[in-house]
Amino acid sequence: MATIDTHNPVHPQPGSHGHGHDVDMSLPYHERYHAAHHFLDREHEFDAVKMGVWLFLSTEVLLFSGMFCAYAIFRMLHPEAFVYGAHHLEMHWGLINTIVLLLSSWTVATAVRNAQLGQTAALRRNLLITMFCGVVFLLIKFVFEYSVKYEHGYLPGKYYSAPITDNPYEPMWWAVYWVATGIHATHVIGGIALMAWLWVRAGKQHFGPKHFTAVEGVGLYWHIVDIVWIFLFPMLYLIH
Amino acid sequence: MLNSTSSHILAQQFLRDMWLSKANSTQAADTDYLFMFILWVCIVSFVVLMGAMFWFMFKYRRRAGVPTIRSVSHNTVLELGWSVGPLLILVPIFFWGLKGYVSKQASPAGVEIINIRGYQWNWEVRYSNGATPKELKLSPSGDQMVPVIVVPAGRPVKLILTSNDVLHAFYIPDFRTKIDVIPNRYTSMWFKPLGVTPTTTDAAGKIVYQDHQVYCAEYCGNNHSDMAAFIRLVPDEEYARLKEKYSEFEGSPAEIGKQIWGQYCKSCHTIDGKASTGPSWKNLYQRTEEFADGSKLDLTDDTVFMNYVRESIYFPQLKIVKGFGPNMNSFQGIIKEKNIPDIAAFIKSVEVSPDAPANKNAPAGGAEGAAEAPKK
Amino acid sequence: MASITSGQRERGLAYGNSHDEENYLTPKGGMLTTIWDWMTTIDHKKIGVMYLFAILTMFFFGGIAAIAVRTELLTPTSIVTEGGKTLVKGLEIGAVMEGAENLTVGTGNNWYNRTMTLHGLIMVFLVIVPSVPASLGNFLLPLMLGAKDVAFPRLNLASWYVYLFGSMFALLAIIMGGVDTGWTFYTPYSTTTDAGYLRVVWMVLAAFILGFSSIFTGLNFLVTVHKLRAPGMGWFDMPLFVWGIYGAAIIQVLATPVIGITLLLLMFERLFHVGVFDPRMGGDPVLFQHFFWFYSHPVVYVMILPGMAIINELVGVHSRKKIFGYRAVAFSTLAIALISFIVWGHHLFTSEGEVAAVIFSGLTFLVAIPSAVKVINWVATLYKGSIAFNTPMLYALAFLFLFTIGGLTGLPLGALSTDLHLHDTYFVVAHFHYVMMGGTIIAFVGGIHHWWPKMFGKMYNEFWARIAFAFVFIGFNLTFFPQFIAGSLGMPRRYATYTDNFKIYHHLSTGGAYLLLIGFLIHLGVFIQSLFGGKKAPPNPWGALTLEWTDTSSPPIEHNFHHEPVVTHGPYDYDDVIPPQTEPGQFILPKPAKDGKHTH
Ligand code: HEA
Ligand code: HEA
Ligand code: CUA
Ligand SMILES: [Cu+2]
Repeated sequence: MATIDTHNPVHPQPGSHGHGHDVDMSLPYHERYHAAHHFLDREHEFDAVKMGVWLFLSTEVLLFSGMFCAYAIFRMLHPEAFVYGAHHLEMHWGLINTIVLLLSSWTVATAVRNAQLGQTAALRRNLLITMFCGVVFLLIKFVFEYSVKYEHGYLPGKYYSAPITDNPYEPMWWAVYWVATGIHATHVIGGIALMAWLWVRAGKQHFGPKHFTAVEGVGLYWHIVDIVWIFLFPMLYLIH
Repeated sequence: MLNSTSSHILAQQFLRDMWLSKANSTQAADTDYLFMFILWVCIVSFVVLMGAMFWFMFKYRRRAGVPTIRSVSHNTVLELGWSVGPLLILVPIFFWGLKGYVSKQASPAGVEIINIRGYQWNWEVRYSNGATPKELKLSPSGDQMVPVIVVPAGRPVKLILTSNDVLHAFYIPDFRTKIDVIPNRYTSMWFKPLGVTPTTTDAAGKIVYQDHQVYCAEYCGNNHSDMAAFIRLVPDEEYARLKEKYSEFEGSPAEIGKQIWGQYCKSCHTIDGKASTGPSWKNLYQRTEEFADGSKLDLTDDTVFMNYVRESIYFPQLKIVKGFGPNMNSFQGIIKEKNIPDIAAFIKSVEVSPDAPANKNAPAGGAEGAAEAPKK
Repeated sequence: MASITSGQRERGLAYGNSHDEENYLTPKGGMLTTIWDWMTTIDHKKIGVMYLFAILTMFFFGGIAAIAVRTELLTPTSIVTEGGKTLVKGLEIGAVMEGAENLTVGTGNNWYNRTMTLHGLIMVFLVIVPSVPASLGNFLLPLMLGAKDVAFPRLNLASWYVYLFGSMFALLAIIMGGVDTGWTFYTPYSTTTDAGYLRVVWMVLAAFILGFSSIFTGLNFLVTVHKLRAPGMGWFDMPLFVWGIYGAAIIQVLATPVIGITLLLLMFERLFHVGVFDPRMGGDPVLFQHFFWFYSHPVVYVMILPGMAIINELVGVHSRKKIFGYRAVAFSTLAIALISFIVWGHHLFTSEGEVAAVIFSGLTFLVAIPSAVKVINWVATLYKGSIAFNTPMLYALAFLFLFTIGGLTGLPLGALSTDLHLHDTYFVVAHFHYVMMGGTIIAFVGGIHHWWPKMFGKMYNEFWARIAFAFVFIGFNLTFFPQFIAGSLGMPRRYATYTDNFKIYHHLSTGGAYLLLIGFLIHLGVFIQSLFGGKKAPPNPWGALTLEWTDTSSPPIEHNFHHEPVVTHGPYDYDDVIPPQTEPGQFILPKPAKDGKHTH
C-alpha cells in the first residue's frame, strides 16, 4: 500500500474517492467493498475482526466459567438442595431445547457456508430457520418452564414462596437456576437480534465470497451460546 | 569493633521500636524477627538500587556539548543475576513466613478455650464456665463500653470466634495476629503469652493495667472503628479466681435467676407464653406437665417442682415435654447447684410478673397459644 | 540496525516546520459542528483526549474525597462531622427521591465511611483502571505502531460512551447518598447495608458497566497490536510502551468477565436475597472474596503495567539510552500478566484455608521477580546515559523511587506470618498508595507532560511544572510513609477514629495530603496556561525515536501520518541515529566506547 490516504471514511463511498483503483458501482456490495481505511485490504480486516471476535468469545466463556464455578461450589456446599431442586425441572423440555439449539447450530453453520459461496437466498433462509429455533427455545423456556416455576413460587431468594419441604437451601438452587438460565436466555435474545441484522444486510447483497466477516462472527457467537447450553442442560436437568 | 556491633544493635533496636509495639506472645516474637529481616532486606535493596540511581543521575547528567559514550544495552549474565538474586532472597522469606503461619494455626494440647462472638459493634466473650467478663472499658471514641478479656499468662489460649451478623476480624496488634470472624462458621486463633500485662500505679496508688488493645480489623459498618476490646494477661491463679468470680451472680434469688435465664436459657425458653425451641416458662410452676411418653407430672408441690427444674437442667433428656424435641443439652458444670433455687424462684416470679395476664390458667391466645397447647 | 536515511530526515524536517497545517484539533466548523464532530468521532486521538479530560476530572473528585478523608483523620475526634452533616443534608434530597424517611447517613462515622468508599471506588474504577490505556494508550498506540487508527474505531467510541454511561450510575448512587461498603463490596455487609435503598445496586451496576468499557478497550488494543503494526515492525521493534499496554490488555480481557459475573450475582443478592453470598442463607461470603480478588488482583497489574509502559519511554528518551535488556523487560510484562492470575489468594490469608494460603503466598513472591527485573533494568539504563531532568524524567525517577518502596513493602504482606499482623492495617493502605499513586499516577502525570506537546502542540512551563513536582513528591512521601509505621504499629484501616498513640502519624499524613493538593493545583494551572498561552511545540521536542515523534507533526494530522511510516531503526537506537525532526546539531551521536568495542 503505497498510496497516501488523505480522507477516507470507514465505509468508502465508492467512486467519490478512490484507493488507487476505480470502483464499479454495478458490482454487488460484497464485491466492491473495500476495507476500512486503516486496514490494508479485506483480508487484513477480516483477520483483525476474526481475532476480535475470538477475543470477545473468550470473555463470554470466562463469564460463564464464573457461573459454572459458582454452581460447582454451591453444589458442593448443599448437594441435597441441588438434587431436590433438579427434580422440579422437567427433563423433556430441557432435552427438546437442546435439540432445538443443536439444530440451529447446524443451520447457522450452513448459513456461513452459504455466505462464503455467495448463495444469498439460502443464506437468508438458514438465518431465518436459526432465528426461528432461537424463538422456539425462548418460547419453551418462558411458557413451559419459567412461567410454571413462577406460578409454583420457585423463585430465587426472598421471592421463593413454594413450601420448603425437602431442603432449606432449595431457594439457593433456584437462584443458581434463574441466574444461569437467565444470562443464557439474554444471550439467545442477543443472538436473534444479530441474526435479524444479518438477514437485513443479506437482503442488500452485503455478503459474498469476498466479504462474509459478519456472518462468520455471529455464527461463532451462536455456537458459543449453544455450547453453554450443552453444559447447562446436564448440570441443571440431568445430574441428580 | 565492639562499638560498631553495639551501635548496630542500637540501630536495630531503634528501628524495631519505631516499627513495632512490644510483642507479648511467643509467635509475635517470631513474626517480629521475620518482619525485621524483611525490613532490612528492603532497606538494603532500596539503598543499593537508589544509590546507583542517584549516582547515575549525578554522573551522567546531560551537559551541553558533552557527548555520551556508547554503552552496552544488554547483558545476559547480569540480567539473570538480578532475576535470580531477588528470588534467592525471597525463598527463605517465604519459608519463614510459612513456619510462623503454621505455628499460628495449630494450637497445642491443654489450651484454655474462650468463645467470642462478634456483632455490630461489640464483642461478647464467654469463658469455658459460661462466665462473661465483668470489667469494661471505654472504646476509642468513648461512645461505648467494651470488654476487658482476662486470660491466663502461663498457658496457651485459644479463641474460638463467630459472628452474629457481618464479617469482623479479631486483631491483637501486640500478638501480631488476627483472624476473620464469619457468621455461621467458627474460626479460631491461639497464642502463648510471654508474660503478664505490665502495670503502673496511678497517683492514688491504684494499679493500672496496660492492657493489650484489640481492634476489629474487617470493615463492618458505622462503628467499625469503635469495635474494640482489651486483653489482659494475668497470673494463672488470678485468672482462675476471676473466671470463678465472673460466674457469680448478685441480687435477690429471682434476680439472679433472671440473669442466668438471660445468659443461658432465653434463646429457647420464653417467659411470655410463646413456644420456642423449648416450652415457655410462663405458668410452669403449678401446672401439670405432659410428656412425650404420655406420663404427667403435677408441679404444684414445691419439692416436686424444684426437683423437676434441677433434673431438666442437668439431665434434660429424661423428660421430654410433649410436642417438643430432645433439643436441650445438659448444663452440668455451667449452671451451679447453688443457683438452682434462684432459677426456680425466677420461674415462680414469671407467673406473677406484671406483664403476665392475671388469669394464670388462661391460654396465651392466638396462634402461639395453640402451639403451646400440647404442653398443657 | 540500519540508520535512518537522509531522505527521511529531510522529509521529517520539511513537514515538521510547517506548524499551521490542519491537525486533528482543527475545528471542523462552527461550535456546534465541532462539538458534534467530537461526540461522534472515531478518531483514536480525540477519544484519547476526551478520556484524558474525563479521567483528570474524576481524579480531581477522588482527590477531593481523599482530602476530606485526611481532614477527618487529622484528629481522633470527628472534626468534619458537622460539615459532613450539612453536606449529607444536601445529598438527602436524592435519598428523598427514593422515599427515605430517616436516613442513616447522619452520624459522623457513617459519613466518613461513605467518603472513604467513594474515594476508593472513584480512584479504582473511574480513574486508575482506565487512566493510562484509555487516554494515553488510545492516543499513542496507533501512532507508535504506525497505524491510522485502532483496529475497531467504533468499538473504541462505544467504550468511551459506555464509560460515561457507567459513570452516570456511579453518580446516581452518589447523589442518592453514596454507599458505605468499602471498595471491595465484601458480603454480607454490602448486601445488607442501607437495606431498602438502591444505591448499592446502582454502584455495583456502575462497576459492572465500566467493566465492559475496559473489555472493549483491551480487546481493541490486542487486535491493534497484533494486526496493525507498520511494515518492518516486528514484535521486538515495538516501543516498550506498546508491550506494557499489551500486557495490561490481556488482563483486562481475561479478568474482567469474572468480575462481571460476580457483580451480577451481587446485584441479584441485593435485589432478590438469593443468598449465594449470605451465610445465613447457606451461601459463602468467602466465595465472594475469591471471586472479587480473582479479578481485582490481576487488575492491580492492569493499573501498574501501563504505568511501567510509560516509564520505559520516559527513561529511554530523557537519558538517550536504549532500554537495558529490552527483551527481558518485554517478557517480564507477559510474565506479570500471566502470574497475576494465580496470586489473588494473598488478600485472603486471614479468611482462607491453610493450604490455599501457602500456595498463594509462594506464588506472590514469584510475581515480584518480573517487577524487580524491570525496575533494575531501568536503573541500569541510566548508566552512561545523557540524563536531562525535564519534568517527565523527574516523574520517571520518582516512579523508580516510590514504586520500589511500594513493591518492596508488598513482601511483608506476601509473607504469611507477617501478613496476619499487617492485613487490613494502614501498612496495606500505604503499600497500595505507593504502588498505585506513587507508581501509576506518578507515571501517568509524567506521561502527560511527556506527550503533552504532541497531543496539544504546545509546550508547558518547565519551571512551574518542576515546582509542582517538588510539592507532589514531598507531599506524597509525607502522606503515606508515616502510614507504614502506623500500620505496623497496629492502626487498622477504614477507621473513622483512632486511639491516641497514632496521632502523630495521622497529623503528618494529613499535612502531606494538603501539599499534594497544592502540587496538583499548580500542575492544573500549568496545563491551562499551556493550552491558552503555551509556546508552539516542535514535532520532536525531546529528540525521541519512536514513530509518534519522528513521523508526525505536533499535533498530528487527522490521519496521523503524512507518509506511510516505514520502520528502519529500533525505538531506542540513540547510539546510531540522530532523531529526525529535531534541529540540526541538537543531538550528537555518541563517541565509540574507549576500547573501541562495538556493543550490542
Ligand atoms: C498498582 C497496584 C499494585 C501493585 C503493582 C502491587 C504489587 C504487589 N503487591 Fe499489592 N496491593 C494493591 C495494589 C498493588 N500491589 C492493592 C490496591 C492492595 C489492597 C487492596 C485492598 O485490600 O483494598 C494490595 C494488597 C496487597 C496484598 C494483600 C495485603 C492484605 O490485605 O493483607 C499483598 C499480599 O501479598 C500484596 C502484595 C504485592 C506484591 C508482592 C506486589 C509485587 O508485584 C511488587 C513487586 C515489586 C518489587 C518487589 C519492587 C521492585 C524490585 C526491586 C527494587 C528489586 C529488589 C527486590 C527484591 C529483593 C525482592 N499487595
Ligand atoms: C488510584 C488510586 C488512589 C489514589 C491516587 C489515591 C490517592 C489518595 N488517597 Fe487513597 N485509596 C485508594 C486509592 C487511591 N487513593 C483506595 C482503593 C483506597 C481503599 C478504599 C477502601 O478501603 O475501600 C484508598 C484509601 C485511602 C485511605 C484510607 C482510608 C481508610 O482506610 O479509612 C486514605 C487515608 O489517608 C487515603 C488517602 C489518599 C490521599 C491523601 C490521596 C492523595 O494522593 C490524593 C491527591 C489528589 C488530589 C488532591 C487531587 C488533585 C487533583 C487535581 C487538582 C486535578 C488536576 C490534576 C492534574 C492536572 C494531574 N486513601
Ligand atoms: Cu466489626 Cu469491623
Ligand atoms: Cu493482590
